[in-house]
Amino acid sequence: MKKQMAAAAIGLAMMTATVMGVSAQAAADSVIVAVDDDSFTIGPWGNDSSVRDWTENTLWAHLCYRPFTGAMLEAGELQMYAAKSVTKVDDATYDIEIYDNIVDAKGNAITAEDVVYSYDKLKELGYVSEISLYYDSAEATGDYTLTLHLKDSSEGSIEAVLTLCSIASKDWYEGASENEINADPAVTGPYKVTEMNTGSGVTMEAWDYWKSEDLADCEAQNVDEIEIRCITEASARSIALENEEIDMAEISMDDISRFEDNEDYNVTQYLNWMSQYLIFNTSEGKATADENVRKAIAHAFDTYTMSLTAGECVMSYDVAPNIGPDYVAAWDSQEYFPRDLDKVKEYLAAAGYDESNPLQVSILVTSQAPQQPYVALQAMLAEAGIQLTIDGQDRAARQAVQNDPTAWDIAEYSDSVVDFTTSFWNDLFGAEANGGLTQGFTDDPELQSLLQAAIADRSEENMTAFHDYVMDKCYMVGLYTETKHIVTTAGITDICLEKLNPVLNAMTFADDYASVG
Amino acid sequence: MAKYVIKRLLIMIPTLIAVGIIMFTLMNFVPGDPAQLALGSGVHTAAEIEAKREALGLNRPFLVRLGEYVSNIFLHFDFGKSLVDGTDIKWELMKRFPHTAKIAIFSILLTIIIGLPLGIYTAVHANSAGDRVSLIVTLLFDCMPSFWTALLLVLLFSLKLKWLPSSGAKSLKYFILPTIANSLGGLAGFTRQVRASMLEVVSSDYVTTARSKGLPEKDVVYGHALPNALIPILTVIGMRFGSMLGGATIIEVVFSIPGIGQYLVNSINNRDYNACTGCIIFIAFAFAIIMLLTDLLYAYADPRIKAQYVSSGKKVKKNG
Repeated sequence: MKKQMAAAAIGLAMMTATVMGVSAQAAADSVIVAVDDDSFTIGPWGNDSSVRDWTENTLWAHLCYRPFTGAMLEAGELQMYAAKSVTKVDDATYDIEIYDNIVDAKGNAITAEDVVYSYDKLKELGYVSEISLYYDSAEATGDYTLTLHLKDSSEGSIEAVLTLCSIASKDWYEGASENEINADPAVTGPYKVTEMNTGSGVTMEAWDYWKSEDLADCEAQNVDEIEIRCITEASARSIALENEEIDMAEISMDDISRFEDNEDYNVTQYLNWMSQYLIFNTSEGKATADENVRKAIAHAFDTYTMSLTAGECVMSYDVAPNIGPDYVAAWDSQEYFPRDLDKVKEYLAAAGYDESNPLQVSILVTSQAPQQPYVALQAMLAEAGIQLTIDGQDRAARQAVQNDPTAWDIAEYSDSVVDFTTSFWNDLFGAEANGGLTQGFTDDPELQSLLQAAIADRSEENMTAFHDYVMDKCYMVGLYTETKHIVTTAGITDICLEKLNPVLNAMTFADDYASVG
Repeated sequence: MAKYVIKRLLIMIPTLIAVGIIMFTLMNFVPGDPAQLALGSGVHTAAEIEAKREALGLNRPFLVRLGEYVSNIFLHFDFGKSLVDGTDIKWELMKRFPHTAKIAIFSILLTIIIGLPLGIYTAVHANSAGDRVSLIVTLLFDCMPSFWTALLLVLLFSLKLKWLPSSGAKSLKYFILPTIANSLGGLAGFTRQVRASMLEVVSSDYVTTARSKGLPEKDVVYGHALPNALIPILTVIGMRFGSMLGGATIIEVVFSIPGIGQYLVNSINNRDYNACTGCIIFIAFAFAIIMLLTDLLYAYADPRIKAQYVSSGKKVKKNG
């Protein structure tokens, strides 16, 4: 438990730059960053990828920028980017004024029509689920003014809509070839693309950007040139860092000891985006539809043992650790399904299971993910007299299987807290988001009522009411969130990690910093 | 000769169409919903998934989609769009092919440069100490998995000596280690093939005659023996080169080289059916072209084969 608390403290701190007291230089000539993904596009709209995560705000202007998880428009925490002002008309309508001097890297002037086109295009393409869920429509009301309508006005929706859509010129996009869109895009952000090698990397250069005042964090131009290099193999990234081929990379847990306590490198620890949890299938006919069965399983294992093979982790006392601003810190000090084999026996007996009639259940997991935690879970459940079958499906097959209420008893999922804990809950339990039922096919009006109350008003009372209800019914068990490590050469003193991904163009550097490139 | 080439090119068409049909059919029956894949990993309502399915044309009958897919490829050279990131697959393949081609060309050249003289030497000096040492060394390389060879090379030349980069494809020096790692494994097979072919020839009567005429050994080996041993050697080179053009998958992954092999692996992992099918057809096309060129090289290596081509051409003319 002590180790868990220590890990939690690390996680709650979110980021820990290891070097202190180094005088910083304002800008650097270049920085070379290795990422673990080689399947990416850099056009204005595309699917998630490491490269896109780290570059979208650098290459493409968005209406606003969210500098930290849970930053809210009404609290004035959102930073204006392409938008000059955002005015609330009603819960679902916002008037927006954009800067009148926005030009892209090809010289096209950006107007309100382009903004409307960008949102409609992204909605049509469907790459960003928040845009599909929350954005309804927009219309230009002038050259530089527009009105934006939400189809879901729940808290957090306007922030998602304002910050997740790249703004591009309609004329450019419709007239550009596939090659131009992906290799030489007419960017609207502070960096332009100078070299793009499909599957290999992209090089960006600060340009004579249209904006010079009131800059959002992601509009900084602290580096003249940023090169993103794709190195998919974890060990190859460590070697490249040691071989002075790159300045910065995410390093796996196995290799991190080579860089810790090494004066040539700085190690920044942060929580992974994705938190793991188990959800029970409560559809009729399933063993896990019985609350006693769910509780027996929940008390038959401990998450810390499961997490041992996943490296350093922060344990969950709800769906995820304390990341969202609506998280109630008191949850971390309450008992969260402690392993108790006597309780397991009681619950199993209440559900009609014993040694002569053992409980048999299956768990749906993604076969590409490490299987050791589930093997540990299987062993712990076996010790408690529960037979667990691990059903590993690859990502695509799993997408089909997980929607079938007859196909599994327990499923392992992972999701991220992008703004609030309630958003995470909504992904799991929101009936609307899941086609009428929850991820575990639970039809429980009380659950929905408590969820809607928590979403509407994130008071401690409402949050705790929902949290306690889910625990009481044992609809799901939060597991853990892995910590990750970004290693930089010693000259990079701060990687500006507010949004979990480093803001590459806003990093700070030591006076003697020189890129390895 | 020209007619033979045209005939071979025409034969390629049904072969490639068959590959296209098989791949499209297999991918169609693989579990997983392409519409959900295309929408990404976020939460999507049933209506959104259905709309995407409609937009992708997945609700149309299988035969209609198959016919459209095959005709798009063979009439317009259009492999469709990636389900994952929406990029044009032809564009991706064209961008990645030069990297794969570089590895394939450099690797085959290195294999020939080392393997051919070594094979000739071991044949001419069969059962000598040199022959045995060469056998042991090449077999050792053959037994080492290419990813392991690659890692050893990286550890030595990148991490310890810091002579060469460990990953990437920015310039020619980035291809030195991948080329060596890709070649070493095949060197044993190639050397033994050259040795076997040459052994057969060096003991033949015309070589004995050439020697008895007093020709220098170099002329006997390179002027008389080697040309007659070339056919099986060319076959090995052609097949190896053809398969390399399909992507040295492991080498590309280890060295982070964005080639066809890596694209194929990614598309399989992501269940990007369109990209996967496109890759396989592209690889089949590259292989077929290389095998055609290999067949044509036979004609230059062996006048008897050239004569066959010419005579078959004449027959066609007569019949026509």
